[in-house]
Amino acid sequence: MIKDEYNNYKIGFLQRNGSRIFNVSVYTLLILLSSPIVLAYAWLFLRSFSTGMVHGFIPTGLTFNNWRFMWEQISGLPNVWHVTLNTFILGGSVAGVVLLVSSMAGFAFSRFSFKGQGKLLLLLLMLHAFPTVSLMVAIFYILRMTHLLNSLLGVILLRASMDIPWATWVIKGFYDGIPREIEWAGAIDGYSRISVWRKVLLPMVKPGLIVIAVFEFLSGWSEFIFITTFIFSNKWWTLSQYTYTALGGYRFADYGLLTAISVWYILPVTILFIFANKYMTQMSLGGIKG
Amino acid sequence: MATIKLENLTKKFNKIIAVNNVSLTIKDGEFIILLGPSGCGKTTTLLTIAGIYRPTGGAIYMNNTIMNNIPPRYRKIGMVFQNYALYPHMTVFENIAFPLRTVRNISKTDIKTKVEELADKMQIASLLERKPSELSGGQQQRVAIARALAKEPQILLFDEPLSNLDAKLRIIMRGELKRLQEALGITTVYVTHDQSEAMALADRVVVFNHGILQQIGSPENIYYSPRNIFVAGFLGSPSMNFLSGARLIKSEENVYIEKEGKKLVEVSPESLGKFENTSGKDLTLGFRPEDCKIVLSSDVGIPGKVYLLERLGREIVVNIESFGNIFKVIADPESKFEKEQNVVLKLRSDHVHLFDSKTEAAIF
Repeated sequence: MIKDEYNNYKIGFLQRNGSRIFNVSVYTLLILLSSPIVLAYAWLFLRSFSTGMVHGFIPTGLTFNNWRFMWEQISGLPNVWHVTLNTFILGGSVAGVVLLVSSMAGFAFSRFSFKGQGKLLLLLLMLHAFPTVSLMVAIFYILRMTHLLNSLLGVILLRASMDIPWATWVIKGFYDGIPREIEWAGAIDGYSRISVWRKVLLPMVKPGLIVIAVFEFLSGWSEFIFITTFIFSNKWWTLSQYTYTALGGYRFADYGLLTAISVWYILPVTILFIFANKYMTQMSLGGIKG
Repeated sequence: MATIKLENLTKKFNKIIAVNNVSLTIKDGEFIILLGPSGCGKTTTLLTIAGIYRPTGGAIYMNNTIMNNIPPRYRKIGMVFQNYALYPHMTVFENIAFPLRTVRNISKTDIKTKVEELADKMQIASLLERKPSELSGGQQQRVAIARALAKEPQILLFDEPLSNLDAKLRIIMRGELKRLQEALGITTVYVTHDQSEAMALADRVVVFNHGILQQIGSPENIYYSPRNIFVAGFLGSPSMNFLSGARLIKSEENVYIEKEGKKLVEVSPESLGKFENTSGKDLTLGFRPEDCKIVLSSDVGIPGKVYLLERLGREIVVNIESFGNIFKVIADPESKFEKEQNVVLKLRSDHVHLFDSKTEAAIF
């Protein structure tokens, strides 16, 4: 009888442990799925400090020789410190330009109503959907006209302009989450619209700005196609081109050197992620507490 | 201090008319309440006074200076919003100090003194280092009021400030607001949809509906002499009872109101003058729940049946079914009624209201 079952709490094994079993299976699945990536990075790191590998995974001996590019001139490659500096400049500048433009454009899209606003927003999304490669010829002509060929500035502007639509969309969402009353309160408290934006709204969308800054730094950091196409002198190389050349430029592959360069390329990004992690996770929470 | 004058104020959003041709003069130091249901244009009016919206037509004057296109920051106003609109990334101290930082040549110590003085007044001195998210609703409300007062405004604006508080706290804050406004003497415009708040706080109440100003007057004036059915029905709890389809009958000896042959209430012959144009018109009779007595039988009165009893402790609200309507009547808690019992409602003839059913305007 239904009534009896309700009166006596008979709880089976699955009812008692169901959620635990579910959790264990989810974690197992996630570990299995992510293991190839984790193993690949672990291998890369180990290989860069060892003389060789046996059975694919056992290091044969400790060496720093693979890291000699840090203090020696490697033939065919420019000075790694100079290249690293270039990469930092590229990543930082792309992040700066995108932040500057998107933080204002996103505000405009969120708060002002103007003619063709909806269409412009759609166009922004479409622009973002274009494959970059399809634009290479056009970009080449534009860069030549503006004398930005073979210059880091040209690549900075290119990378930024490709990413501004995405960043504008992201930050617009953050602005949308701020109640209008907060802006009104600022206006009544004695501030002009631009000061309200600077002193009240910008601090409130900070989690979004941090996400954009991190992603855009990475976007500049890992930029390859524009560098390899529009940069001709190794004075303006970045680490992507450096790694690629090291990989392709040797007749006999020196895996030790290659892995060390790769680890060097990944290292700053990993550190950045560890520091930005706290803010990045705020993004999913909306970042704003009313 | 300041006076406010609205002259044929109109505000449209695309094709929707939110505020329609509103004229209103607010005296210096007056506590004015804009009252109406949601979407009636009261908040739009307030935001237009604040300068957040620009009027589509008409004019706003403050101290006889036209303010139509003047940005909010030059209007010398303080405002408290329904959701308080505190700056979440700033501490309570920073929130209150924020308006002060726009004052020219103000020193840091001056700001500190002023903020502490306001915090003392609003009893939030111990909270100055906290963030708004760490405060309760009532505390946030106090911070919002302190921030609105920081620059010693000429005009205070409130947009439903109490509706996010729980019922008990609302009554407490209501009293505090009233005392504060009386002590400071600042001209205040306050928006609410809660008629009891309006009755308790206002010097004058302005009733809105559909963007149109329905009536201005003291709370008593609006309560006892509503100009139309909307105003009559909006104020009071439970609200006024209405019976449509009534007619006025004049005979040799007296004047009375009837429906379907039943004599509902006699009217004193002195007030006959007001009825000159009512003969044959369809009238709506209005009476408040407290303005009638339930008797077991009577020649004159509204016959009905007890439908439901709501016992509220201090009183009973008796629901009486009559002519297809449910009337609410306040009765003594001692009185004994039973469901389905036949009764007659005897109205106080000097407290009945009569409206033209078609135009909804009050006849008296």
